[in-house]
This record gives sequence, C-alpha cells and structure tokens, in this order.
Amino acid sequence: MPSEVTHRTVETNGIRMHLAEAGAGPLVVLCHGCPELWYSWRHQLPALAAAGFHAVAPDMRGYGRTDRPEAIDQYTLFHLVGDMVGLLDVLDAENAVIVGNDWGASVAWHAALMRPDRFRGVIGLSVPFRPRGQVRPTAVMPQTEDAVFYQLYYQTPGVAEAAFEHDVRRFIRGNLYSISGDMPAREARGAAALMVPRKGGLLARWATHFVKPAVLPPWVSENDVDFCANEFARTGFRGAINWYRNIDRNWELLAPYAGARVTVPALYIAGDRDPVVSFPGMDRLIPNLADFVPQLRATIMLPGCGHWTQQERAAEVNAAMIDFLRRL
Amino acid sequence: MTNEVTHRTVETNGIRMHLAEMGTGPLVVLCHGFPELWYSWRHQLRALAEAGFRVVAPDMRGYGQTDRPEAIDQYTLFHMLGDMVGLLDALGTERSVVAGHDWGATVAWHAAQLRPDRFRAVIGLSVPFRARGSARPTTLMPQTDDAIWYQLYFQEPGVAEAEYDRNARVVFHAGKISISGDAPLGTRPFGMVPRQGRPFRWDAPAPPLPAWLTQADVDFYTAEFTRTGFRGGLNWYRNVDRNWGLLAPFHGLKVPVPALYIAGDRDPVLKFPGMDRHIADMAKFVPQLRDALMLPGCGHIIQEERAGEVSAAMIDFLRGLATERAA
Repeated sequence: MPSEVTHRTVETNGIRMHLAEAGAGPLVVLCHGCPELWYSWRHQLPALAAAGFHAVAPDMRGYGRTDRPEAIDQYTLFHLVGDMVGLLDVLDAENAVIVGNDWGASVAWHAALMRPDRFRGVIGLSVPFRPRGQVRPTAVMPQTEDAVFYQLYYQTPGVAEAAFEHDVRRFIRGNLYSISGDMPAREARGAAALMVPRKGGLLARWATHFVKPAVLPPWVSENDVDFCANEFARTGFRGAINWYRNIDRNWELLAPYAGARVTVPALYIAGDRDPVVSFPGMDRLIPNLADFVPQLRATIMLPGCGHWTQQERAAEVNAAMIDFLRRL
Repeated sequence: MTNEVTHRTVETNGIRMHLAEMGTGPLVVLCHGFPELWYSWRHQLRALAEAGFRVVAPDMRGYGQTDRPEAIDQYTLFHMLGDMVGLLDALGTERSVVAGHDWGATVAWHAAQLRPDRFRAVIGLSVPFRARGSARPTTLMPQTDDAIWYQLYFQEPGVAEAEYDRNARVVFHAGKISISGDAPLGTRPFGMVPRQGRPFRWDAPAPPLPAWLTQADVDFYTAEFTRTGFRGGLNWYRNVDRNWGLLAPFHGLKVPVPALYIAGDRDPVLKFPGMDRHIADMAKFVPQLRDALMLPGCGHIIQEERAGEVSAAMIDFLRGLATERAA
C-alpha cells in the first residue's frame, strides 16, 4: 500500500480543487481551516493510510492550488459542502467520513447535517457543531468602543487582507505560535487576544500582542512555515477571509435546519488552550454537545493543546481518529 | 372543529406571515405558487378540515398580507424552507404534511428532502420534484432572436412588475384561463416572451369565466395584487441561479418520505423543457412516490380547476399515511 502523499487536481462543484491523498480503503476527507492548507494534515495522511484508509486532504475553496472564485457569495457553507459532495462523486465514493479543523470543522459538521447518506461519520477538531442561533451572528459578536471581535474586523473586503499580506511569513509564523498551546499563559491574554483595535486594526494589535518566537515549538518547523508562507504569498488571503464574510448569509440560509441534529456517529477533539473553546457560549455548548449530536461517541479535551490540534498533537489525534474510524 | 376559515399572523424566520387555517387534527401546510395567494387553496382548506385535518395555507413570502422583504436575495429557496420550518415551530407542531402547487411545490419537495424529520409526507401539484441539473438554470432556458423564456424575462427587476402591476385584473382573468384546461383552442403556448414590442396581449378580449373561477375570485386576487404589486412573487424567479448554486450539497439526495404528485395533462408546465424527463425520473428520486395522477383536460390551476378531485386525492393520500402508520 503506498503511503507517500500524491497530488492531483479534480473538478468539483464548478471549481478545480487540488487534493493531497494517501492510502487505499474507506474514504476519509480532511478539511483544513483558516488560514491553512492541505498541509495541516501532513501527519494524518500517512497515519490514516497506514491504518487502512484512503485519506484525502484538499486545499479548500479559496486556498492554495484550488480555485478562488472572485465573488464573496461563492464562499457560503452551501458552496463548501457542495464541494465536498462533488469530491465524493469525483472519487466515486458512495460515502466517506469527514474530518475538519477550525472552519473545516464547520464544513464537516454541516456536511454530516445535510448529507448523512454520504457522510457516515464526522470528526470535528477545535470547533464543535454549533446549532443555528436565534440571531444574526455578527449582531452578537463582542465589540467595545475601542475594539471589535476579529471576525467583525474581517468583514470589510481588503482590510484584513492588507494586514495579513503586509508580511506573510511573519504573520503565518506568529499566528501558528500565538494561538498554540505553547504560547506562554502570561502572554495569551485570553479573550482579549481575539479583539482587534478599531484604531490601527490588526497591525496595531500585533505591535502589542503578537509574539515573534525566537524558536518554534517542536511540532512545527521553519520549513513548515516556509511552505505555508510561500503558498499564501502567491494566493493572498482573500479566499480564506471570504469564508468569514458569509457568516450572516450562512445563518440566513441555514434557517431550514433550525433545531436539526447531526445524526451520524461523531467525535469532537479540542485543545483546552485553544482560544476557540473560550469563545462566547462555548462553555455551555461543549458540555452539552450530545444534545445536538446524539451519536457523539466522545469529547476529547487535550490538556495544554492549542488551536492547531492535529499539528500540535499529531500522534494523539491520529490515534483517536483511527480508533473512532475502526469502530464505525 | 371550526367550520370557517380563520386568519392570523405569525412570526417565522424573521418575517410576519399571514395564515388562513381551518380544522383540527394532523397538520397539513399548503404552499401556493406564482402569482397566487392562500386563497388558491380555499376549496382544500374546507375539504381537508372536514376530513379531520388541521389545514394551514400561508400567504408565502412576498405575497398578500405576508411581509415582502426588499432585497432580492431574501427570496432564495432556503428562505422559503426556513419560513416553513419556522411556521411549524410557530404552530407548536413537530411534524406536518407539506403540499404545494407551482413554486410552492418546489418548496414542498425540498422541505421534505431537507427536513424529513419535520415533513412526514409531501404532495406536489403541477411541478414535479426536479433533481438539480448540471448547469446554471438560466443558461439552459430557451431564447431565440425574437423571444426569450418567461423566466429570463422575469430576471430584470422592475420590467415584469411594470406590466403585471398595471394589469392585475387581466392576469387573474384572461391570464389564468389561458394556462388552464379551459384555454381556448389555438391559445399561444405559454412560455416565450417577445423581445420587442408588448410582452403580453393585455387588451385581448376577456373570455367568459369558467365554472371554477368566479367574478368574486378575480376581484379578490386583483385587489390583493393591486395593493402589493408582483415584485415579491417575481423575486422568487430572480433566485433560480442562486438556488442552483446553493443546492450543490443536495445533489443526488432523495426525497425519503411518502409522496403524491398530481398534474393536469393540459398544464403548460408539463411542456417545459426537460419536464418529461423530471417526471419520468421522479420515482428514482422520490422512492416512496405513491402515485402520479394526471387529470385529463386539466391545466395549471389544478386545485381550483378540479377542486373536488384534487381534495379527494389529497385526503385519500393523507388517510393512507395514517393507515400505513397503524399497519
């Protein structure tokens, strides 16, 4: 069985999508988050292949060597889930287990919600399934006189792109460190770190908060940073940030799914130092996730782990994923 | 059991929605099409209520006494489906049968497809379940040097409104008859709109009213649409490509609940491009399709043209569901 990662491009849902894949067997699709690439799954691809699965990690819509449609409204969850359904069709797979981290977890949960006939299991990393709320999401995001929640800051086209693209490598490197479990607690500043000053924006926040680590933690190398920085230097961040610009549109379009549950077997894994688990409302949602995901097999909180779950704790995440997959 | 149609307004999915309702028992929601109103179901409200059902016919989003959001993108299929799920919530009902005619049938089929946990059965009139095609719908609609498909004509905001808003009475008299089974022989087939000159022959002499359409009916529709205009209804068509984009996740997804399809064999919808294939394929995508009834001599205005037959077929289907559950 080949365990080296191979690459190809397929056509799905009207776009060309780049895939990294390894192994043969039941299909497992791995959806990365923001701002990431297929490369975030580099440790899972060979591990899942060795365990007897066909692991496929695309560059998601807007990222890497996958197409980046121009219009913002081409980045709704319906487009992203449509890409994944089309991917199964291209791969000639009747069904798959779908896995995601960060925004990719939202895609995975909603793929399982919308198509339980095609996605027979779901693994969410960092971001749990979030049932549709009563109000437009941007209306309830934190804002003060001085600062706004980073997702609000992302809404205006061009603004966040300019900040990220100001120094791509420095941003990628600092971001990997700053929301990881290796960020020293005294510097992490909790929820305050997620607020962006109204004056000066992200560059101003980085001046006071962003860490430029002297040495990277052992789970990520300068070569890894180079890979991602080179890709984003080429593509820019617009495709990635456009996902956030559909948060309210997604909420509207998901009205038919008000109260709906994810019915397939599921696993949720997060780091207890991931800022996502401190987002408003998560303290009530995560302990009660089984109310909305009745076949939730387990919630695994990794002590000391941050946002980059499958990169920071590759071996633990692989073992938990393979255990879940084998029991399906 | 109340023996009159009652009216109220509920809040659903961020809009205020006007409902006509009657009866008690298992819930049946009736979704009208374009350009219609709850009133299109006036015969079924009574018949189904008398048969032991709770029947609710809303003015759909954009119509009648229901809200008409301004923005075109507030009229996607997903907004309509959200309205129906929210309606069940507002009525305090876990599950319902959903029936629809014309555009309302499209809402009904997809409601059952996406939320079979809430919509336990579906009845479609005129428009069959249509599996998502491989190309943007407007790119497949007919056009010639001289004329374009009516749905293309509807795309440009303000254009069709200007014609329809001024001629509501003709729409609901001669227009309605022209797509019914009582269309005079030789009536131009519905569908293509000339690029030049007047799109419709508003000044043609009005044919006599058939038995299924009274002057009071024409007056009711005319008064409502004169008040509201046609923009809300037309906006549904302005989302056909957007809907197609958003329906990508559901490619190949079946409608898993018991279903009934009824159409008139003189309904112009059956002559629409590709419709014969959709009807032939329906059993594949709707595996629990109990029956596909073709009413001879009936046109598009099916539940008004053949109120008795349609109500009887619906009640028969609804009672069959109860029998199946008991069995």
